[in-house]
Amino acid sequence: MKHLYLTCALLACAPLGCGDNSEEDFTPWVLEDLHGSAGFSLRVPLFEVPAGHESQNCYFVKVPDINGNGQDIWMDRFLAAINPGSHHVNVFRVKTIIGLDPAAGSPTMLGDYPATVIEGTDDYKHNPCWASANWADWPLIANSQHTNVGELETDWKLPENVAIRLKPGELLMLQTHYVNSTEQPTMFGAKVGINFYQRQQPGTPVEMGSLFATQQNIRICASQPNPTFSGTCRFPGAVTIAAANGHFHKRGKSFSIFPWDGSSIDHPTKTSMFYRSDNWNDPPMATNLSVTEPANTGIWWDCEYQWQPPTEFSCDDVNAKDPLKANDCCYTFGGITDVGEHCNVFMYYYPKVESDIFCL
Amino acid sequence: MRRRLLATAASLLLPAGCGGHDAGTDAALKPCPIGDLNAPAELEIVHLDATDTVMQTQAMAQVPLLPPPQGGWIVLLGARARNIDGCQVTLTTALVDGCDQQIIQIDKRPTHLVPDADGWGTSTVTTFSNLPVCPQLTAKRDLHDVPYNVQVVIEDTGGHKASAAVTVVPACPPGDALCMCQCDRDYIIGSSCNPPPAGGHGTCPAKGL
Repeated sequence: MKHLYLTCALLACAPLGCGDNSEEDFTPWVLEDLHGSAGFSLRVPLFEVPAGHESQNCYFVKVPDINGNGQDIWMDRFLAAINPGSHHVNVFRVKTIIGLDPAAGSPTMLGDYPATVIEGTDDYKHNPCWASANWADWPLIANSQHTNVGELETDWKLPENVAIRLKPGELLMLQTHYVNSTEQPTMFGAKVGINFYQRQQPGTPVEMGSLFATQQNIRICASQPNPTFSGTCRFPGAVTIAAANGHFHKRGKSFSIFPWDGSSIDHPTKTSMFYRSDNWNDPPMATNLSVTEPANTGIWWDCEYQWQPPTEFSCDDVNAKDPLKANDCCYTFGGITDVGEHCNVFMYYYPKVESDIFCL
Repeated sequence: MRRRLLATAASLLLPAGCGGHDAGTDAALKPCPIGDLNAPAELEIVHLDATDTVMQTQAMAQVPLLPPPQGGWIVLLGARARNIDGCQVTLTTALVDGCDQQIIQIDKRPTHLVPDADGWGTSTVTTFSNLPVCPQLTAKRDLHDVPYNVQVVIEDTGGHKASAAVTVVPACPPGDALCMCQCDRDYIIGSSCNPPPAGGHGTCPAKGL
């Protein structure tokens, strides 16, 4: 296994706290525990991430039958509380099982519910919890990349009469990714709580769907340090975009999303942009969007990068990961933040048409 | 018949003429004109085959569908051009359904052109466009072994611009059942390929559907 080393900066910062992450400002989060028809609560047991290391864990848990009748349940609020140092918390529906097998996980509990976990430590080359191909067709249900000492919670209340449909017994994968580096320190331990609130109003709501889009063939190289990669993704019908967040790693400078008319090869006008993130380590999640997309249209997104050397690993590690072996310290598609890059859109829309949307 | 170009992965890995590894300085800012910048830019479309060999993309050429790291199937398209700054070029590629001229998907990225002996420049292998083809929830026809249009635009920072389009036939690796399943019109991501969709949806849908 690859061993990482503490950087001087991290040694200097971690015990005392730096900037906004001071220990004095940190108040541990407390979420109410949901029971019965109120919804259900998932609690990831506290764990430590050594300084200079990353951790990605995949937890598997079944949707509880909170109404006791086996009928679908509708969730209209997602509340996550996340200790700082988190890179992302994603919740997926489990579909095709390839190399990441829930049955192969170690038993654990997510609050009241039995679960299994496959812990992906720094072994990004071999551990199945790091291999995104293993969940390539698993639709996203909800996510948060946002946390800092002053704001640990992401409270996403879905639009009126819109909800996420879950089936009792359906298998979910809750994925945590913590980065204990100088740029994203995990100073208070890794701890995540999620509440799914059941809709209380009568009647069947409009179903929320998710869109996952990614640029897989990205290269941010020492000799070409300022690339921008763009992509598009179409909706199958007329929809309204309710929430969005962009995801990239340390080289990410700016992430922006625009409506796209579905017929033009030209970049949408800058003024039409409805999402922007300039922070790779605490990107905003826009939860109050109401972007209407007519039929036969979609989104256009841009990922703008600035190359920088790795901080915990080396360019030799980055080069070893480059499938084209260009020997140019080129960051390519990969989950671990110090040696890999991403350019992903996480988006939520309604009404869900046919299925969730993937643009791979 | 497809024309095999001389470039290979080994010879086109680095943007020769655009500077080498210099630890984060933007070598691309140094201009490297290919041809005559006072003449109109010219463009031909090229693609990569399964062995990373650069091929000139002829009409109705079979272009291989390749698997990227997180699933799906893509084609890798590049530019062969002249009268343009080869170090400061943006490459835009689009997959277009010839039935209704709707753009299915777009990829846009920087490309770097390496001068050839004949005065043209070709995209380095590392800067080819990664154009996603399938799966497509909105597909109206199968996405393999069926003609689709590709549109390619290049533009440098000086405003020199050229575009080209050609009809190609995306092709799965021989015998690859997963590719044929995921590139079927009726495949929905997350669904099983056992049994696979029926296939055989190559014709344009009737108008109004």
